Formats: sequence, structure tokens, C-alpha cells
Amino acid sequence: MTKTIDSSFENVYADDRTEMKSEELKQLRKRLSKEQQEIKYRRFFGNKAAVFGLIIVCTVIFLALFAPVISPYDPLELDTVNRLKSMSTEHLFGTDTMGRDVFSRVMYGARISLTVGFTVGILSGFFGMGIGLYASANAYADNILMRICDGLKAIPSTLLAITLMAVLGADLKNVIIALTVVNIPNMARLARSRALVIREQTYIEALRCLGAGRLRIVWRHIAPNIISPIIVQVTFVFASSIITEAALSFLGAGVPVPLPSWGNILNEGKGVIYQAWWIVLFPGLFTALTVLGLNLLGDGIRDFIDPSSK
Amino acid sequence: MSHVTEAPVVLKATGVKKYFAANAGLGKKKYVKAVDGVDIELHKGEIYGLVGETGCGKSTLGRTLMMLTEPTAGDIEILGQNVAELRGRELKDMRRKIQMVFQDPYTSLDPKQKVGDILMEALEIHGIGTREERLEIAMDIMHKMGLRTEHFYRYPHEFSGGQRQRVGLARALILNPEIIVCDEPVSALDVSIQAQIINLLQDLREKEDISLLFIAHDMSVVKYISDRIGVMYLGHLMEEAEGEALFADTLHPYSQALLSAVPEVNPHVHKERIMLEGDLPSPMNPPKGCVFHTRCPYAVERCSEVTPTLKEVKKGHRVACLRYEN
Repeated sequence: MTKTIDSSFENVYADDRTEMKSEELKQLRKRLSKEQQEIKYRRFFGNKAAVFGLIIVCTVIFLALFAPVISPYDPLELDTVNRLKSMSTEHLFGTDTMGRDVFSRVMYGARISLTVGFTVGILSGFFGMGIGLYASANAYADNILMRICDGLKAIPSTLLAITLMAVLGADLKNVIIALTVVNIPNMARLARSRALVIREQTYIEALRCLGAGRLRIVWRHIAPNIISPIIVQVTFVFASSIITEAALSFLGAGVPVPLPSWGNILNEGKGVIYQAWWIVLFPGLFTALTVLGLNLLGDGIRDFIDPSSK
Repeated sequence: MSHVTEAPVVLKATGVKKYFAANAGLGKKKYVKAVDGVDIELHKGEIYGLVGETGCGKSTLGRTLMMLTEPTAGDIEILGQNVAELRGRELKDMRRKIQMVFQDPYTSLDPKQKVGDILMEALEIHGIGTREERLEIAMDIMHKMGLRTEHFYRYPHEFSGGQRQRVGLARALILNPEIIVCDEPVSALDVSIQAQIINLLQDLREKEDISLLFIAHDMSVVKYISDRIGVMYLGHLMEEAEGEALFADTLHPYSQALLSAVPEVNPHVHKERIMLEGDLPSPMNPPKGCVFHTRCPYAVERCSEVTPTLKEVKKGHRVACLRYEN
């Protein structure tokens, strides 16, 4: 135990000195953290665009989760008699070249697109942050890691993804791997640059004065301070992965048919765009809306998680 | 206040140099001589004011003494131990003894941590007490710094500059250090708040017998608080004396110019303002001989050849100037 500093200081808030019982302290803590939460929520919900984004994203997630319940048909069921039927009460979004219900396919496609987007976002965020933090702490590793990132970034991301898909083979798992690899360099760069800024802050110096070890500084202080831009970036990667996956599938290098993804529905519809425009309209619309929603949400999240932003 | 000079020495720096490598283009290596051979002693319970204009190396000296950067040359002894020899556990224990208060209260606190956690973490790092005990110690020190219980659960951004500086002070004090290095602790604050923090620091010295190295560029603040004052210029300590003596009997031409710039409160006292000619030379290429000779009104030829060393010319009054040699 350390000796505590002599308590003979003149106290500005004398009546506040009265010993608080731990119960009271708990209450106080609860009350204050509730206040702090409320400010956060108010800030988030005061941002109309973010709320709009949240609603879109939640709706799409809901549709994806309950696709089996919502979809009137099996997305893989062929009905060659009813090919290229226009929109009707039977087929809300019409039917495609093989008579499959486009509505059902779009609903099931949401599952694939969201899975890909979410997994890629989380994985690239995780690895990117790890690599970025490590690079920021170790000058030697920094040089090597950042040159690798530069190399990867020199290739256009879609091209890189196609190449990776060609090597790995068309498969949902491989789409995720390819897109994660494509997105890690940006994420790592972001994490690294943020970490380098935080590293120079005086509070890191103060921690060193207190005797804090490197691991504590990196994990307890630098990581929490770089996480908010990372999370925002994750939502953007989520959105862009949906697009890239759609692009890959559209080019035939993505999720293999007959599994419906928004990209390969578009691909199948492109040949008959003049006869059956609805086949490309709806998956395209859903992709655009989801991406819009995620981007709006990302901006809102940034305000939400940073306690000091107004 | 001569009692302090008889008190034991808690911090002793001898010939401390800190050079930073700077690229001068095309493979030429140049060095910024931020601190260029400084001897300084801090006695127990003393407030030592270190002044000098921006870029004179006073903050670098502070950071070097804090073991935040290694000195290029020279020895630092804290509480009788040479810090260069400390490793691991010993170094960590030594850090407990010497703490720092930073200039900018806005960047010196982790924005993601509540104030209570900031304070308790210091104890946690050194494995002091249980969770409950830490909470109590932290609460206690917060109260002493004039912060309220509810502040414990607040984030730094919910505070004013003065309150944040109190938190910074609390963090420096929570480990019961013997020495505190204050790097311009009040220059980012309002004048009214400055007074509060300065009074807090004085209280500390009186009640806890803590030694303070007070780095500042504001002479009036330093005059008010310090027992002894050192004047730095371009990485060198030019003059050092007890506070009163320095003001009453300023010896070094640079100190004279610096002191003449302090505003006088009394309107009937007319002060002669000494204006220095020229600009501050680059610390990358400091003048030969006495570093001040390029701007010194009394400079003679010898000044550009011989580097004066800090010599005691009166009791407790040391000055580095050829005019006072012999």
C-alpha cells in the first residue's frame, strides 16, 4: 500500500467530501452513464440520414433473415412455362429466363450479399487493424507490411479479386477470402495512420511516465482510440463488398449459379434487358439501396461511438 | 528561501545533451542541439523555475529528465540512482518517483477513458491495492484537487481546461512522487485558472515536500512560484540564482533582456526595455563560443571564441558569461 497524500488541502467542495457509500457510488455511476448514453443516442437519432440508413439496413437484414417465410416460391424452382413474365400479383418482381420468381431470388440473394459484405467487413477490419497496429509499433515490420500493402493496392481491386477467384475457384467462401484480401491494405493503412497520430498524443507520453508497458499502451489506449474510424470503414467495406461481389458475380467470377446473389441475377438478366427489364431492375435497386443505407449508417456510427464528437 | 539549497539533492543532471538527427539533404547528417550540456540540481521541497523562449530546449530537458527520451550524453541521477542503469522492474519503480504535468490539458488525457479510470490505471500499473482501494485512493486525490465525486465517472471532454489540468495533476500525484516536472502547466489556461493551479502546486510543495521543476516561458508566473530560477538559451543554461536574487541582481545580458520584457504592474515605474537584435540562431547551427554572442549587446571578440561555463559568482548565483570570469 502506498501512503496517501496528506488530506490537509483546503477543499473547494467541502460538503461533497462526505463519504459516499459504495451503493450511492454505484447509483451515481449508473445515472451518469445513462446520461452519457442518452447524449449518444440523441446524437445518433438526431441525424436523420443515419436513421434512414439504419431503417434501410434493418429492412434488408429482416428480408434476408426471413427470406424462406417471405418468398412465395423456391428461388431455384424452374417453371419454363412462365418465362420472362412481367410483374403481377403472382410474381411480384416477375420471372426470369428460366421462369424462376425474381422476388424470391432477390430475397435469397440478400442473404448471400449481406453474408459476403458483413463477413468481409468484419474480417478485413480485424486483420487490417491488427496489421496496422503492429506496423505502427514496429518500424522494421512497418516497412515490409506497408510495401506489401502498396503492392496489393497497385492492382485495381476488382482485377485483383477476379485473379484471386481464378486461382481459388468460384465458391462463396473464396469470394469472401478474395474480397477480404482486397480490402485489408486500405484498412491496415487507415489503422496505421491513425495509430501513428494517437502515438504522438501527450496522453501516451503520460502513460509512459506512469510506467505503462507497451502492450497496455497499444491495446488499452491506442486500439480504442483508432476503433471508431475503423468501424466506420467497416461499414463502407461492407457496402463496397456488396458491390464488388455483385460485380464479380456479374462477370461470372463470383458466387456460382444457381445460388442467387444480386450480382448473378443481374448477370442472367443482362441478355434479356429489353424484354424483361425487371430482372435487372430489382436486384440493382436493392444493391443500390443497401449500399446507400450502409453509407449513411456509417456516418451516423462515427458520431455515435466517439464520445467527444459533437 | 535559502533553506532549500541546503536540502538534499533529489535530482541531479550533469552535462546532459540531447541532439536530434535531422537530414540536411543528400546524406548529410546534421544535429539539432536541443539541449547542449546542462547541469541542473533540484533540492528536496524546492520549486525550480526553468525559463527561456520557445525552442530553447527546456521542454526537451524536461522530457529527458522524465526518461521519455535518452540523453545523447550526460548523466541523470534521481534520488541518488543513475537512471541510465535502471532496467525493467527498477525503472518502473523509479517512474513512480518522478511524474509529469503536461502543457496541453486537451491532449494529455485519453478521450476514451473516464477520469476515474485514468486515475485508477496509474495504481493498476503498479499493482497498488485492490479495486476498491484504488477507487478510494483515486476519489481521495480527486477531492484534494478540488474535483467532485461525480467527476469520477465523466469523460475528459466534459471538463473545462482548468478541470482537466487538475485531473492531470491528480494523475501525477496519485503515485506519491517525490519530484514533479511541470512542462508549462498553466500556459494553456485562462489567467484566473492559472492562479488556481499555481496555488495548488504551492500547496503541494508545502504540505507534501514535493520537489517541482517548473518549466515555463512566462516570467511573472515563474517569479511568483520559484525558489530558484534557471534561464535557458539555445540549449544552454545561462544563469541560475535564487528567485529574488535573479530579479534584484540580474547578471547575464540575456536574462536582463528577458526580464526587461516582463510587464510592470506599477504605472509609475518606468522600465528600460532591452530589445535584442537579430533572430534566434538555428539550434542546428548554433554560434561558436558563447551561443548568445550574436545578439549580445556587450559581445566582444573573445565571446565568439571561448564558450563560457556556468560559474558561481556569488553565493548560489551561477552565470555563464565571460564578463563575470575573473
